[in-house]
Order: sequence, then C-alpha cells, then structure tokens
Amino acid sequence: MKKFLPVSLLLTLCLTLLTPSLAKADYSVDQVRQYVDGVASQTLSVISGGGTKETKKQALEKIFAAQVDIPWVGRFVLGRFWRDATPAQRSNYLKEYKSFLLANYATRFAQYSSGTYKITSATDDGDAQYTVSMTMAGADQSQPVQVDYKIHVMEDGKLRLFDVVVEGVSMITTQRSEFASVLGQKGLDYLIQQLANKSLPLPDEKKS
Amino acid sequence: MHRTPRFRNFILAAGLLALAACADYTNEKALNDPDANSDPYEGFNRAMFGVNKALDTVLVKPVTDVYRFIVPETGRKMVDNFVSNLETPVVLVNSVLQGDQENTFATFWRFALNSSVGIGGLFDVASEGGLHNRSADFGQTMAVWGVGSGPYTYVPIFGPGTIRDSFGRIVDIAFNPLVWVHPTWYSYAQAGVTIVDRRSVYYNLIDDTYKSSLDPYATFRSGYLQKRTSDITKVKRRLHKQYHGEQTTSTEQTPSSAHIQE
Repeated sequence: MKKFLPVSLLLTLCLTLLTPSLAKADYSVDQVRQYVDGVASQTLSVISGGGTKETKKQALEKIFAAQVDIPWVGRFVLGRFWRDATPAQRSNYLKEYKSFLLANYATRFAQYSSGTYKITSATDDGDAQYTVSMTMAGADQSQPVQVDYKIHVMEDGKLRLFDVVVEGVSMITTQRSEFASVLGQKGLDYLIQQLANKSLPLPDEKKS
Repeated sequence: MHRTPRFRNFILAAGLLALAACADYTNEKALNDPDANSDPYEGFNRAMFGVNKALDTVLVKPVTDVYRFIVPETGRKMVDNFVSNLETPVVLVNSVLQGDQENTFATFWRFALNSSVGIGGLFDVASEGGLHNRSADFGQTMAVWGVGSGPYTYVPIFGPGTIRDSFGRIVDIAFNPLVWVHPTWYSYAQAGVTIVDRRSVYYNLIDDTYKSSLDPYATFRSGYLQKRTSDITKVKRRLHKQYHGEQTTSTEQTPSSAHIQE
C-alpha cells in the first residue's frame, strides 16, 4: 500500500492541475459572444437609463469591477516589476490599482447618454482566450469605432474581460508601457503613491 | 512657386537620408516588449512633448473651448466633414500609390459625392450611403513599399510620429492640390482649422489621458505606435486579399496570458 501512496499522490496532483484546464475548454465561441453581449447591454442600459452622472458612475464601476479580471490585469501591466515586488508591495499595489482603474476608466462611459453596438465577430484564440469584436457608435453621427474585447477563463472557470482594444490600441499594452516608463525612472513605491493620488476625485472636475 | 528648386532638392535629399536610416528599424520590438527602451530620441521628444503641451494649454485648448462654446455639435460635425473632404485628394493619391483598389474606389466616390451632393464637403452623404471615411497617407504608403518606421519622434504641432511618418507628412502636404493653387496663407488657414477640428473631435480622449495617465508622454507614444501598426497591418491585409484572395497573414501581435511574467 505504501508503494502506491506516491502514485496516488501524483495522480491527485495531476487531476487538480488538469481540472482548471478542463474547465477552460468548456466555452463555445457563441457562449463567449453571449457573455460580452450581456455585459455590453448591461453597460448600455446604465448609460441610457435615468439617474445622475454620479449614480451612473457608481453603476458602471460595479459592472467593471465584476466583469474585469482586475488582479490579472494589474499584474500584467506591472510587467517584470511584479516579480521583484515584495508581498506587501504587491497587495498594496493591487489595492491601489483597482481604485485607480475604477476611478479613471470605468467612468469614462458616463459622459455618453446613448450609443449603439453591433457584434461583428467572435473568435477562439486558443489557450482559453477569446476575442469578441464590435463596432460602437455614439449618439452623434461620428464614425463607428471598432472595439475588440479580450476574454479569458479564470481559475474558477468563469469568463472575465482582460483587455479592451479600441481601433488597434490595447488598454493593457498602453498601460504597461506607461507604467514601465514610470517604474524605470522612479520605482514601484512611487508608482503606488501616484495611483493613489490619481484615484482621488478631482476637485476641478467640471460638469460638461 | 516661391520655393526655389535648390530648396526643394535639399528637402528631398534630407528626407532620403532620413529614410535610409529607417531601413532596418521598426518599432515592433517596442510594441511586443514595452519594457524595452527603444526611443533613442526620448530626451528631445519629451522636450518637444512639453512644448506641445504648453502650446495646447495656452492656445489650442482655449481656442477649441471657444469654438465648442460658439458652434453647436451639428455645425462642428459639418466643419469636420469639410476638413476631412479637403484631405480626400491626399488619401486618393496614396491609395493609388499603394495599389489599393478598394480604397481608391471608395475615396474617389466619397470625394465626388461629398463635394457635389454634400455641398463642398459640408455633409458626409457618402457615409450615409455606406462609404465610410478612409485613411491613407504617405507614411503608410512607404510602409507598404517596405520602408521601416525608424525611431519614434515627437514634433511640435504635428505631434507623435516616426522618422518615416514625419517625412510622409511633408510629402502629403505636397500631395494636397489646394496648396499649389492657393497662396501661402491658405495652407496655414487649412492647418489651423484642422488642428482645432481634431482637438475638438478627440477632446475627451486627450483630456482624459492627461488627467489619468501617470506619464502622458509614454501613454501617447504607446497609443500612437499601436494605432499606426494596426492601421498598416489592416492595409497590408486588404492588399493581400485583393491580390492573393482570402488567406490573411497574421502579423498582428496581441498580448496573451502566456506573456505574463511572474
């Protein structure tokens, strides 16, 4: 029996390692499309719904926090600096990064009062990653904009967004480049402090 | 013309020299590995970025604010249509040079329709008929011809670019037929209106970026290089489709989970 212990241990280990990847293969392209469609229509109903700019912002922050894999994005944009960070720096950073992201990105939609979107394609990029592309247009007669949403399957098997690519410009690539520039010059502690500063509501925010 | 042939030859020679420097240089490395430092003129570029930011604060933004206050959205849309229509001949010439039949066709009809039915370009009737705005510039054309981008550059007024694309902008000015038939002040007027129009179109994007970015210089640099690469990839794909059928070449690089560094 003793002989089998390592084998069974190995088996258990293999199974636990395999399980997430098995779960990852579970989504069809159509399911991912539906997921993005759901998030987009939810966002749109907040934008075009009633309420003040402030309540809209709060609702958008809630959707954003629930549907974006913020810890993963936070690590990605830190690049190689994540590896060198101490556990305390990491948790501190992730906390500040989340507030920064919500304060600066989630609320950008709040300035619109309506809009339309049309999903044009959904593809399986392999590695439990998917891309759903759509064209979006604001209320004015401006040119429609192409937006690609990147989705991956998380450890718990749920679908979450991890990038938004607007007209070929990826949010996480841009932010990683921006952070790399700051980190290279001033280091992680400075970056964390700047994230905290930028998360504060701006006193000069004008109503438009 | 008021420019001597010697001056023109000088510009041409300087441009060719600059392009020779681009031959092997692309920004792909910078895009795939943003940690890599591939901005050899960063010191100069940052200084010019500062100059442009100052120009924006004291001149461009205030003028744009007045413009947005006085002119309602429909009027601003008409100005934007008008300015875009004036640029169509340049897009047309470059579409032809790229051998892009689809773009050439669409751009030709856009210009014909919008200039006539659209009353000199004030109304974008072509878009309503499904012929959306196309872009093409000489920097793109050179990219299609196989010229590398050269290092990133930031120039006052023109903003972000690369050596190749900055040279392309000069050529594009010469491609604009109106510059040759009108006196010099006309070029300045068109440039001025275009700057205010574009500042207005991208008003929120620019202001949000300044507000939220920890390093706006780096953010605009990354955004510009990604947009440029994406546009050029699109042109190349379209050309490939036109000349070799449906098969597309996948040159686009996207970040993936596998790239995360622990």
